[in-house]
Amino acid sequence: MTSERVVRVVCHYRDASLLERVIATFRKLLIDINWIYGRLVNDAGLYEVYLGVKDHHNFLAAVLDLSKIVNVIRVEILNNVDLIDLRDKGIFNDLMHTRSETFIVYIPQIGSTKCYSWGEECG
Amino acid sequence: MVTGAKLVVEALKREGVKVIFGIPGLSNMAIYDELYDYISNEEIRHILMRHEQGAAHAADGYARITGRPGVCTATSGPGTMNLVTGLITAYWDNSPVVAITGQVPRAVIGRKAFQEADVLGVMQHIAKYVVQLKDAKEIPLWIKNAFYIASTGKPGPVVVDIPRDLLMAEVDDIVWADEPLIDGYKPFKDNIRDEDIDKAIDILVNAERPLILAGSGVMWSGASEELIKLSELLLCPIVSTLLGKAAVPHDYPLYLGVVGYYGRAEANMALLESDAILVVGARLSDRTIPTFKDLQEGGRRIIIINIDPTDIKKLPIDVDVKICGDVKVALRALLNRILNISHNSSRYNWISRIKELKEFYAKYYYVEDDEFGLKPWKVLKTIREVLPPDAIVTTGVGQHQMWIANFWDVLQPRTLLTSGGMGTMGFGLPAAIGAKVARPDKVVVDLDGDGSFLMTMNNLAVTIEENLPILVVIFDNRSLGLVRQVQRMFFRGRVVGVDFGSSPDYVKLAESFGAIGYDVGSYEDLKTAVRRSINDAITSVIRVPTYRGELALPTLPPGGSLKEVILYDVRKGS
Ligand SMILES: Cc1ncc(C[n+]2csc(CCOP(=O)(O)OP(=O)(O)O)c2C)c(N)n1
Repeated sequence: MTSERVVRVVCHYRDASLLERVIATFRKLLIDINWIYGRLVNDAGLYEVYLGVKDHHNFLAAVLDLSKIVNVIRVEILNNVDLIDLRDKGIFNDLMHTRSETFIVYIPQIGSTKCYSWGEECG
Repeated sequence: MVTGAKLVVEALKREGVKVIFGIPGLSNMAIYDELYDYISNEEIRHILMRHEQGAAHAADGYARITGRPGVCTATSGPGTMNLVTGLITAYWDNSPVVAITGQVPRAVIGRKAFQEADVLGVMQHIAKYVVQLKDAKEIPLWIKNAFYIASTGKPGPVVVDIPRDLLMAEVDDIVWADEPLIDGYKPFKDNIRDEDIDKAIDILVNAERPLILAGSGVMWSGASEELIKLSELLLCPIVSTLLGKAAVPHDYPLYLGVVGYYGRAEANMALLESDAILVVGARLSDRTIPTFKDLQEGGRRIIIINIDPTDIKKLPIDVDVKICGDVKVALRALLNRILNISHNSSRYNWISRIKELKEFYAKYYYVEDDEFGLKPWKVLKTIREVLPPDAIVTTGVGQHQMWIANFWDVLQPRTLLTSGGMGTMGFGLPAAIGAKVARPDKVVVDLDGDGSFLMTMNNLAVTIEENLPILVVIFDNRSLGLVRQVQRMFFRGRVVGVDFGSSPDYVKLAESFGAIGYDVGSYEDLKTAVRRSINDAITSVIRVPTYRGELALPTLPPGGSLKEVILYDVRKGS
């Protein structure tokens, strides 16, 4: 199986087209998205999106493009993530009873991320 | 209390907008109603284009000449969708355009309402940014933001989509924005480090065969003077991209021409023979560098200056020195450094080699007349001789554009406008209109193909009613020449779907719009027609009959290397 890359996009929400643009950045570079989740962080519109994408020779190009989309504050490549299987935690039991897949949440580990903002490497 | 529409027009005026290219309809009519007074007072000029594609190209042409955002407007649905080709053309060439589009009222958005189009959905992929407004109070800030986004960093088109109910809404406590405010937007910052400048100079001074490749960034940052100065000091020849051609006066003896797919052979050869290259404001598209192996081979040292760091980081090559910043600022830093060191760049061998390459290839290009009629290079030379040096030229897309790429002499910066990245047929005439509005004092010429011209020629009417005399020269080969050429050369000669069975009489066509038409049969006729049309100061259309089998050469085979340059037609005739 192709290995997966995980990114976190920190951005500013005005309307849902933000998510379309984030997804389309990968689509335009022929990169498949395995999973995605995101949430509004605060009332000021701060938003974070996590994506697991299939590794691809265009991956870095997509991250760089993403990092210079209007409303995107920064993009982090999460090189090391802790996986929490929600089934193990007894969450979403109903759903999981009927399916064999796990539902995994990815928690970034501090210090193992690479971050880009408007094309520049950041913190 | 004022309406949202009034806020739009007033905000545009506050941004210094003097002209709007557009077409009204149900959803932007409220804006036109407010424009009425501004037009009557001659504060803002409205140019009624004949198709919205033309409005976007005209705004783009205006922007490319002035360096400031050009503005266009369209109604919802079909009007806005007609902008698409023009906006993506501006986006691919980094031209700042602001499009104000009317949208259906919010109450019916998403209901397949009359003349509704998903503007966010469409434009987010073909423009630098699109915003749909949610409240009339947002109008002043978002007009300011749109201009800021369009003109900073890497410039590009921005669409402000305004539902009709917001245009009609009454607003009290208006807040005028002094500064833009956009969460998550940063213009690229200059990050020009002394150590990179030193390293770049070290490479360039010590190279035996250095070369500068100039891109459109030189034009956008107005750095032609700095570029030439650096080339002079380093004795470093210059090649350019198609768009970068507009940044280099061609009477500069160390300029070799456009590099790439349809570039000059000597420019391609110089690139292949160079041992160090300074890429200035060019993203190295597939048209300029069809295969990166050409650039990477032979241990050539590579220095790149680009405002957009991602343009450098995305390249699949090793770059020795990356200088992220505005081209003008970076070139000045290089100049300062070189003026402070002692160096002795004689480069006798390299300069002799450059001369030799120029002379060698010239004999393939400048073939005198044969039985196949007027020669494109000579047509261009004839026109060049009659036009003033600061005349502005626009083009369509096709063989004629490639002839211009290779045989048109740009004598002053920013006098050539062409659709480089998108290759959009139909760009020429409306872009010329935008250029003429920006610089009415200059002669503006659209050097066009018949196929390209026919796509947006409805805008001839605009040039007459707005008193914007433009000279249109049509290379009339009654065919989609460039496609025909590729079919002949690379699709086993199976010419299909390209030849026009019927074409208009261009003289009558011009006359029907109130313009003057000429049909020329000789270079002398052409000269006379060009002179006359400049003197008459009325739009003229000059038809130059062009042999259908004429090729745009040099070229490369599809996906080919710069080494595989094709110089002459092995199968003369069509
Ligand atoms: C809008 C658009 N449609 C199709 C093409 C593909 N295309 C590229 S060149 C060309 C032919 C252009 O014909 P013309 O304007 O007459 O120029 P010529 O090649 O004959 O000089 C075509 C169809 C394009 N570039 N743009």
